Amino acid sequence: MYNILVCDDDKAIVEAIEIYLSQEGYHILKAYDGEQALKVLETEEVHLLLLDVMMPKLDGIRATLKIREKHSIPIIILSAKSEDVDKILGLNVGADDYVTKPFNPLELIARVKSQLRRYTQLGGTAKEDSGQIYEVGGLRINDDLKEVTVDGEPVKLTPIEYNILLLLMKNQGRVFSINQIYESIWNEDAVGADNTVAVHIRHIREKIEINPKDPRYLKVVWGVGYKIEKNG
Amino acid sequence: MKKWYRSTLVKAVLESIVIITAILMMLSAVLLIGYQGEGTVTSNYILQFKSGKFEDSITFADRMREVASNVLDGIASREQIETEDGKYDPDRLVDVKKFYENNKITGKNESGLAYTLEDLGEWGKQFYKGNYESTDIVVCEKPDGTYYYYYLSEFETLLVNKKLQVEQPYEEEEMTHSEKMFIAELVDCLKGGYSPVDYYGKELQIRDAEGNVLYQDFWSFQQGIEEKATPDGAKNLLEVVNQTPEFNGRLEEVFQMLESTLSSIAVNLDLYKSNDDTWTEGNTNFQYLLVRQHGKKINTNNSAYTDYQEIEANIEKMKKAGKYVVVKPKLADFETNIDISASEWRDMVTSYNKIDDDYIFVAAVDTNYPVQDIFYTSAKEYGKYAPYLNHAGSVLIIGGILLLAAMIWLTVCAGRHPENEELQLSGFDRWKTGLGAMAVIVPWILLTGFLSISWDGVGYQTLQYEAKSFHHSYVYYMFSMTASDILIISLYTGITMILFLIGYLSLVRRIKAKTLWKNSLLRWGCAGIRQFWSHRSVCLRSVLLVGGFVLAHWLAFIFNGVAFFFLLMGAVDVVAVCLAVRVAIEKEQIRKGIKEIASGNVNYQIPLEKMHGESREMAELVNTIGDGLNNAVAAAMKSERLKTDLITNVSHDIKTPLTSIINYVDLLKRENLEDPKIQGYLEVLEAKAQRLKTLTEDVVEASKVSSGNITLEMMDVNLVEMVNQTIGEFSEKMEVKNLTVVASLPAEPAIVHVDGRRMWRVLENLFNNAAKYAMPGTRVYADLRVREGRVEFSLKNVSENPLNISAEELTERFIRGDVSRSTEGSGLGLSIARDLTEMQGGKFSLYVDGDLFKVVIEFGV
Repeated sequence: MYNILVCDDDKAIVEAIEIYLSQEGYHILKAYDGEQALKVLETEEVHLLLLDVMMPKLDGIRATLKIREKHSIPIIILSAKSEDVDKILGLNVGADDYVTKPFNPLELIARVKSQLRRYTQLGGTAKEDSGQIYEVGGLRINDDLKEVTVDGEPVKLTPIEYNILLLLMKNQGRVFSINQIYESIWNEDAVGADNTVAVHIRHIREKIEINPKDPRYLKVVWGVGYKIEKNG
Repeated sequence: MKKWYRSTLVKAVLESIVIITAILMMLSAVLLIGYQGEGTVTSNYILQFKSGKFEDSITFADRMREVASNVLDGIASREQIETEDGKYDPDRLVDVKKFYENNKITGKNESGLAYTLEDLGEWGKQFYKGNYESTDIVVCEKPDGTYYYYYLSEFETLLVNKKLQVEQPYEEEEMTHSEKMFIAELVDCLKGGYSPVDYYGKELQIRDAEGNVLYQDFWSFQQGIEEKATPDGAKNLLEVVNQTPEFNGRLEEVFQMLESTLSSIAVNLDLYKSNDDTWTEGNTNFQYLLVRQHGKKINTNNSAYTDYQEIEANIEKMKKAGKYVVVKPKLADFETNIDISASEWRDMVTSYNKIDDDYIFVAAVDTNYPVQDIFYTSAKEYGKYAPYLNHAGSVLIIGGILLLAAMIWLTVCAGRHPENEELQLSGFDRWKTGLGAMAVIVPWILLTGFLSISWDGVGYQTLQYEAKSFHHSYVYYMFSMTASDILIISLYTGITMILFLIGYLSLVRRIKAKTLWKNSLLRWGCAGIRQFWSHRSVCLRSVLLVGGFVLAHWLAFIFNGVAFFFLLMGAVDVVAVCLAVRVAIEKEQIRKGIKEIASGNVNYQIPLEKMHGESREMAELVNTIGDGLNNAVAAAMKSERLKTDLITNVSHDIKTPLTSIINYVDLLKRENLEDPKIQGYLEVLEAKAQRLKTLTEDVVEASKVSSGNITLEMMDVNLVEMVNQTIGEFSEKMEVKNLTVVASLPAEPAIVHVDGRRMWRVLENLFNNAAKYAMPGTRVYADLRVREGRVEFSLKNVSENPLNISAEELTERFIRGDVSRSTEGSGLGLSIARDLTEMQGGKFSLYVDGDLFKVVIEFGV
């Protein structure tokens, strides 16, 4: 039983989140501004914090800064501010994830689970490097077992999808064009470019990403190719 | 066609009518006037015109009287010149006084002043032509009151030789001249026409060598003419006058008589000597018979009529020849078959014959015209033109009416068109009024001037008659109109009418358009002056500057050779060149400044350090404009940013409640509500909530994009790769609607310099658009082409709903091809795509052709 602190000045949102997360078996603590959240954190054991940014008394950003002085629990910022600048700011001050409102409840649950897993089970401790295991964030691929896991959950990929992902994982940070991917996977010259690879990439994203439109691992470099972000 | 009478065709026809009618009228008028008058044009002739035979015409009567007069003239001069026995004697003496009194040559020197006929003839000929000079004569008054005359030269010689002596009039010694100089002064005084009384203020006496007073006064006489002949029995005229007491004191009269005699003799002698044979027998159809002194003197040009015994029979014979006139001293005896005045003829005959109580003058013309003389030709010509003359009259009247009607019609319709009531002005009508008038009048004047110089005139031909220098009145003209005359008259009239029509119709149109004054040169000039006056300080300065410059040059030009003015001119030139160069440089700097500001660099400031006077002022003003623009731009940007901020904040405020809506709708759905109706309501709620979400996001983005409030990360991007990626991304969405994407992409990369993520947004919006609005089951064409240094991507699809909207409107915010707003999407997609494309330096165009929807994006490579 994990304790999750939900902090938002909008009570309706807090209650809705409570309903969703309670159904998943989490214990919910509630706060309606930054100061309350800090107080709860002092008194209760909290495993994950969902934090709104625009709140009275103490806003989410400053609250995060204060919390980070003492705690290393996962913080997911939940904000209506959807600009890149906002996200970068939130992540830089110490948040682990950034979800914009209005959010998809299922996505939020997935992200909460992901963060908890990493915080409790994976703990950031590096596993033994056998050379056959490639890992980026919560994405892990074990080439010996031909097994792909995201935050510990196994994911089923087709052989071609697996090969593409493996290629990208082996060369983290490097951008592969469609032709390069095609030539390495199919082992034949790409006669003219087509969108086969693009379709496969999309399928992979749908399987390994929580929100395929805003991918954490498999990123599209528009007009150039695809890459796996290095330990993002 | 409405108002056909205003059409160009009708106008052209009318104008042709005017021109042709004018030509015909002009020809008729020339024919009528010219023919009737035979050179003497009066209104009587036209009014009395009757078509008929020549001999019944007024012209004939006039001509007959002129010929008769000419003949009588000839008889009179012959009788005057010839001696009694009908011979010419050049040495025959002409007594000037007697000739002056009786107009007869006596052959004797009675009064004392006489010359030979030959001498007078020669002298008179020159005198008549004006070849004479005056002569200076001195009149001396004797103490007894009589006069003595000297030629001035003779008088001077006598003074020099001291035969005559004049006392100097000066009372004071020092004024006294030498004798020689005094004589010269005196001669000059007389030559100038002065008398000593006028000149010295007192009479001067003349003494002889011994000192006796000869003359008590003297003066100059200048009315005399230079003598070209010697009088009978004397050396010169003055000798005769001095010797003849009758002439003493009447020198002026003597010269009058002499001059009159000279003219008269010269004319008559010339006429006599020329031996005119125009009216002699066999040369003319004119016959005359003059009987005087009871048959002692008979003059005729018909040898058959010389017998006085058969005079009556001969007169009857002459009467039968045709037209005749019989004049006798009594009016009652006057006979004729011509319509003429009896007294006029009688006066004419009497004036040539001093013996007025006994004469018979018969004149007749053979109207069969056996001889080809002036009567014959006139009669022939008279018949030749007669048939046309009646028509000419009708042409004049009908043509006049037609011309007037056409002109009125043209005047009314000028400037109007059949289709509308608007006034149409031609290019010529827009010329300045003065210029327009000149353009019409100057060619006409040139043409008229040219014709008057190079063309002899309208159809008069001099008849075969030897014109004598003293007898102009007997020169006959005959009317004739040749083909070339007709052509010239027609052309001249035609051109005149064309010019007139152009000018007149333009004038009418100008008056109708009320531009006559508005467009006149005068008003233009006035406007110029007014302009000058309202900007007088600036204008005056310029005029003074240029004036000074020009003045310096003029001074140097006028005082050619004066070094100072040359130096001044040089200095002025140098200053002018320096000024011109400086102004040019400053102007260029200002121009550069304005260009910079105009091209958007509102921060640009024109350097003021090297500016002077007006240029500096202007530069400062331009800088001020730059500052103003700068402020305006900054304010505009600030307000745009505020707007974006506002939209962003509002969207945040919307998103929070939206989150609850979405979440609780979702929660409701999880409540396992069995009622399908409730499930349906929830579906609607969910869809609308999702749409609201998209909308708020798009609104923020559109606002940011249109205000330019985003930063671009430009990089080289392969558009081929990108399109492939995009098609991949949309593969499922397309499949859902059963759309096939047909891509036509080049094999080689198409590199463009754009912001990858924004470009993806553009393509995403376009593909989304196609996915949303394309007709299910159709194909979507994605074409990428590289040509002439440009990359062109186009996406075509067939719209599911009719595109009831223009391509321009489609890219406006919040507008969608189908008016319905029920589908997902904000309607901002195309607007955002366009703004983003243009922001990255591309070109975004939309084409709608029926249901075919096409987007084209172009980028430079």
